[in-house]
Amino acid sequence: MQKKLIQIEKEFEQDITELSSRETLEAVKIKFLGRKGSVAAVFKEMGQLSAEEKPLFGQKINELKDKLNQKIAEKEQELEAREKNDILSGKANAFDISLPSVRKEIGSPHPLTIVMEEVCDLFVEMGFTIVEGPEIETEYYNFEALNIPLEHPSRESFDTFYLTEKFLLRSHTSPVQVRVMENSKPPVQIIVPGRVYRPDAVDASHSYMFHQIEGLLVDKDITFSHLKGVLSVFTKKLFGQSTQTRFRPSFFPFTEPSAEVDVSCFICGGKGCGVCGQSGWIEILGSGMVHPKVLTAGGIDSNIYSGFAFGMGVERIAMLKYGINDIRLFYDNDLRFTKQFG
Amino acid sequence: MKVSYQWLKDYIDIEHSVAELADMLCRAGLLVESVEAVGDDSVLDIEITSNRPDWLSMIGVARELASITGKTKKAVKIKQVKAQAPDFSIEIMAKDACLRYVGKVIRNVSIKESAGILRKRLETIGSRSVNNAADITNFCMFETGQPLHAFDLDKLAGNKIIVRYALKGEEITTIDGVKRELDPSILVIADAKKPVAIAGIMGGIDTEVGAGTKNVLLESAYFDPVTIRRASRKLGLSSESNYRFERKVDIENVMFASDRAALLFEEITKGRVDGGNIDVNFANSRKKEIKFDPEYVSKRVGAAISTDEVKRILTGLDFSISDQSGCLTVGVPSFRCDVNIPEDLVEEVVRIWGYDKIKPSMPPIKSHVEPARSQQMEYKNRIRAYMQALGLDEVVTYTLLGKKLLENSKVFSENPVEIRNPLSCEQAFMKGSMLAGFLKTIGINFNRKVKAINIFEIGKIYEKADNGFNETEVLAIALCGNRYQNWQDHQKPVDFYDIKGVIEVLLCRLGIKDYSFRRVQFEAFELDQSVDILIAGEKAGQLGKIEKKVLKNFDIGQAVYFAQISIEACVKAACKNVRFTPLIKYPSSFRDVAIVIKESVPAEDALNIIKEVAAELAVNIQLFDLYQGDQVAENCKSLAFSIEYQSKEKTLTDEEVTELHSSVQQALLTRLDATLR
Repeated sequence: MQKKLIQIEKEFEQDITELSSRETLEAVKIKFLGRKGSVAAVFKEMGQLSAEEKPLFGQKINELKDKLNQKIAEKEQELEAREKNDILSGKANAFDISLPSVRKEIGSPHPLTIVMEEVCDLFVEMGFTIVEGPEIETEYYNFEALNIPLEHPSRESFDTFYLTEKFLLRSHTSPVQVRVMENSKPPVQIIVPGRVYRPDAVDASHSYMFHQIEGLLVDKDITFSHLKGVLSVFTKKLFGQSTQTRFRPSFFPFTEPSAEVDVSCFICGGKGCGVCGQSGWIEILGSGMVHPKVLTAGGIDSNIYSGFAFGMGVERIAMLKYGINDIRLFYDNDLRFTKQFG
Repeated sequence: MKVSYQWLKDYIDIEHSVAELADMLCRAGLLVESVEAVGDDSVLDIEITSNRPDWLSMIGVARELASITGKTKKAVKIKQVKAQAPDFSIEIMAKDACLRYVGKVIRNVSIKESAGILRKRLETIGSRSVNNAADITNFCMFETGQPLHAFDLDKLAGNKIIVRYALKGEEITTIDGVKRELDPSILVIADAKKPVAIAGIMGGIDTEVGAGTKNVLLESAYFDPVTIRRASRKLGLSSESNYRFERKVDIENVMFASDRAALLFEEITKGRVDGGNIDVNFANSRKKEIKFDPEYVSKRVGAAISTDEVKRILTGLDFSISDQSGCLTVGVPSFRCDVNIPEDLVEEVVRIWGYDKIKPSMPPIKSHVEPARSQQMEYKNRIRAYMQALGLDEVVTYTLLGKKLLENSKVFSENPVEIRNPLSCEQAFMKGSMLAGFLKTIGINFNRKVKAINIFEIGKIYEKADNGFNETEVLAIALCGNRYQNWQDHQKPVDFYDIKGVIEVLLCRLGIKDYSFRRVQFEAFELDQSVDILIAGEKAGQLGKIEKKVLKNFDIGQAVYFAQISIEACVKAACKNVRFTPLIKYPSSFRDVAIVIKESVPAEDALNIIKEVAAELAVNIQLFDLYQGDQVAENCKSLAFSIEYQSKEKTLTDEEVTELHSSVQQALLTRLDATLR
């Protein structure tokens, strides 16, 4: 009997070492530990033994059973681990995860929309309200109300498309300043995105249609220092916290004093590169304190109130931000271009 | 304007390098756009803003530099003569357009090619050397900002100059050799017989100073900016001279420039001024004065700038100051036509004091009651997000289009909004529909082999109105190409129902329930797939399949579906207060029905019958199959619906559902003359 047990264990060892699949392991399990397996057969033969031998031998059989069960469990774990490994390492003929995905594509926003929304949101955070105005404007709102006299050389930079004697396509978003002031009392704090038109021949850096964002803040005791504060915060948020701003005296008919705003080049950090023309600075905004004549045109008493205004070109910012070198790409709408944003 | 670094040193000592100089000028408002090395000199290209004609001269730039650095300007040598007229007369007939005219007769000049420093200075800044006489007038213009002109005295008929408007039909050949027709709006310089120069713009060829010239009449004048500007525009002719007159020259500088040129004529051409000046002067020489509270600077700027500092800066810029118990009376020099109000003086002070010294601060934030965006703007952003979620790419198309493009798209209106001064015929009309721009965009992309072109734009269309023009914001959508682009789904092109789907998703998302589609003939659409979109019975847009002929005009070889819908109509009808509908807790049952009907019967009729008969118990009706073919009779189609029945009040029994469904079937059969399939 004892010999038989040793024989069983030996056979088992041999079978289990040779096998390499879970199916054969199951067969081995049945062969040795099943109801009709070799261990059960030995157990049946126990009746032949004496009363003293029985418990002793019974214990031996149980020990063998436990041992075999444990080995099977170990083998099972080993095989399981190997299988997992084969799948994960790609050795096993498993599901091809490399086939192209089946996508529900979402559309891309236009880069100009992205920039306009981003800029407007930065000013909304600072308490500005977004306002829009008509693209077909009158001579009065586009020029006269903004202190741009007829027949003045300052109009040259505002060459304009005309529809009739009186109506024209706005050459800037500034007319909205006056329209809003006419209809509201200070504090006025608005941001105005919109499309504007100037008869410029189209090339890589010019377009007869483009977009501007205009800002206006009018209240009591508004100073140039506030203008610098608001625009410094804006440029830092848009171009990065380390951005420096430079305010340069300039001329706009509707502001006095006026300033061009440059930001330190965010490509080279101000050292000088191709983008900033080696100067370290990039011109980004026109700004200034609202001219008293403009406040008056808006029905606001310039002795009580003061304000500042600023304006920027959306295309210019988008071109700088994304490194786009040709303004025409914005209106060509080649989807290979459009899909790169947002 | 080009400024030579070495030339500038003739008027002021400069200890700074060119780069430092450029930076200083920038900070004062003279934007140096580039610096270029020319020989042993450097040339700064400075952008001069239109309010500062006084900067259009070397002396003007030197003056600015003096106020920045505190250095003294160097004196410029001139030849002053007594106001004693020689045998020559000047008559100003157009007193409104010529406020001052100074003439000098210079005799026995020797006209040659110019040489030396005169020639070098001009060539350094890119001005072509002509002869010594012309070069002197040009040199003095760049130096003083006052344009001058030299006539060959012996060619002036009648020993006379008349400043007058041209007569109708008069002509002149200018020194560039072009014969120009004049009209009575154009100011001319004439002799006793005919015009000899277009005032302030260009001289005539007949009286041009040349090698044979012995005697010269030197002109220095003040012409009205608007008159010169209009003439320059009208003639399509411009020069360094009219550029300065248009921006307004300094009337007090007219004599100085003449005296300066006289000196150079004597030194260089060896001529002699005959007698003295002929000076016709109508100018009002009263000085402009501004009452100015020096504390106003600090108030406007938000930085403390002392009264002494204010005075020092203004004096440095040649303003005169008289102090009367705190309030200043500031006298404005004649060359500062741009300074008129206290704000202008604020800018002058801060400009020199330094914009960078003003510390940034935040204005007090006011909290607004009204939202940051108008309702329409909020909805536009939502619509944009829906379109993107539906896989449409946003485009931005041009507002101005050409007649040909509009005609090719069959959207050329009978009463178009036309630009009076277009740059080209391709930009002559404002669009009245988004279709043309979209077809152009699709054409470009189709040509570049883009497989699926699904695009949208939120933009404006324009039309004439009673008192002007209307601009309407619309959403435009176009679909072209395959519906899916993957290896599992069939390569099937989009069709009418895709674009109808986009519009319906939009309307449903906006909570608009009362909408419908109505057949209509729209020029650019295929007749059988052309509809109006109605919201609450009102026309809100259109939708359809673009006609083949139109597509051919754009070389698009694939079907295009287009829709355009008014944003305002959408916003107006959108559900502003979404209310929750309680969920039904009783189970639902599904039943199918398939019917065969005439092809001409719209599916909508069947849907309406189901809705009518089952009323609110039919919570969901899906068309799951449409069949036309051998299995059904000719000119017939089979529609199969799956209907979900559910009651809000109780669980419907099987018998109840069956009974309801059979009455639905019965209604379909009798009312649509249908058969069951």
